Amino acid sequence: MKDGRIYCPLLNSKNTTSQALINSTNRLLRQSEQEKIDLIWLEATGCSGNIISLLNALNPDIIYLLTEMVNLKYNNSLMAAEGEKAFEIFLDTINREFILVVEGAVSTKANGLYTIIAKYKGKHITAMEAIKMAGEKAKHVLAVGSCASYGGPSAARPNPSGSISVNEFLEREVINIPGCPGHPDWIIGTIAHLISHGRPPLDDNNRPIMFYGITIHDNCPRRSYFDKGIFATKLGEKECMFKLGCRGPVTKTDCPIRQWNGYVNWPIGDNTPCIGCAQEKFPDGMEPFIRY
Amino acid sequence: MDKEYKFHREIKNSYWKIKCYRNRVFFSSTLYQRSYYENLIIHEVDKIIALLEKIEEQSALNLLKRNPEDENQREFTLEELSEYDGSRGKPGYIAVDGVVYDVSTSPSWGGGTHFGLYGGKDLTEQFQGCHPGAEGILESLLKVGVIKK
Repeated sequence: MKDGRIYCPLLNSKNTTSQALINSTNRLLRQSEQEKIDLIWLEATGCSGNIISLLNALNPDIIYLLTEMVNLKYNNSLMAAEGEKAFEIFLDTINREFILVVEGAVSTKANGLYTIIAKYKGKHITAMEAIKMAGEKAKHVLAVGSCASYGGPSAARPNPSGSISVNEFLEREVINIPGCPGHPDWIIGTIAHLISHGRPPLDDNNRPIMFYGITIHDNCPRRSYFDKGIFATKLGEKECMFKLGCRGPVTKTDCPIRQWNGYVNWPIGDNTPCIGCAQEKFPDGMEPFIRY
Repeated sequence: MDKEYKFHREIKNSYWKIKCYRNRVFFSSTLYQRSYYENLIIHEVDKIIALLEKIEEQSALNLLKRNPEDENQREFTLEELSEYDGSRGKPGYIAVDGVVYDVSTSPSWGGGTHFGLYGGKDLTEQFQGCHPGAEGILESLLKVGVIKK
């Protein structure tokens, strides 16, 4: 024990899980001279929050992902090509081995016309079409973010775009990485596991157990307040915010340990209750976010 | 009961031994003899202390095992129930199948709400719709009364 804090190797290792996976992957790559696998990142019916979150990655960062881990062949935000030439790259990549990452839900109303990702040879290519094309041929499919994993805010009542999750849309196993947005470590960590050790162990919601195994409640620094029944009565108080509507007990992520924005903060740590953004029923089922 | 008798017998044994050693202390002629019997007395006293602690533990366990009295037959009208919706620090009660449960500290009822449902209501239909055949969930909730017929 040091300064009264207990050193738990299990908790501390969570901060470096992704990095450890990356390192072992690199070793494997150098040993086997494996070619880096292609990756297609489709932004469907969402807010593009997940690609932004990916750019915030720190351990490892986006440059590492792009140079050492995968060949990002197609992503409308980051690729250099434009217009038809860009879509041709997409059509070309799906003929080889690749990982498909989808962020944003799949809008199905009006034959998917609510989300158009390209115009090719005079025809509008909807996100629904592109996901179907790529999803059938991909080696692995990742649904990143709560919208892709569960429908999320895109599918919130009354769901005018007819948005559904990628899992519901494709007839194959899809690995869910929920979160609004998904934490960059969860995304890159899962990709790392895929390229080095294959499919990670998933729970019955198809989420990687290494990131989604334990509820926020079970790791919360305010847990002893909950256990003793000492609750905050309004925002700003330091006790457990359960009675204010905190969704920590029903949300399974490692936010209290990994934290966000370069591992510096997270909701409860900044005195606001958890809204359960990685929970299956977010956002309609996680309402109200604050209860007074 | 058996255990109690055993404790009683052992304490009685130690009691007689201490009495005997006490006499020997009184009649001992050397310091060596005296401290020898005093040590034996201390040993017996330790035994009695351990036995008494065991008895305390047993009676505490027995208290816990006793089933709580059925005082939770408080009757609620639906109007009374609606007061307990979990807002403003009030407890959160819900009714399923005529039984009223306290869900104030149930982990999935943060802020007195549960996946879009609010407390202070009869949620029988919603429960059957979402957790069909899962009466085990209700067993783990705290009963506080019944709905008045």
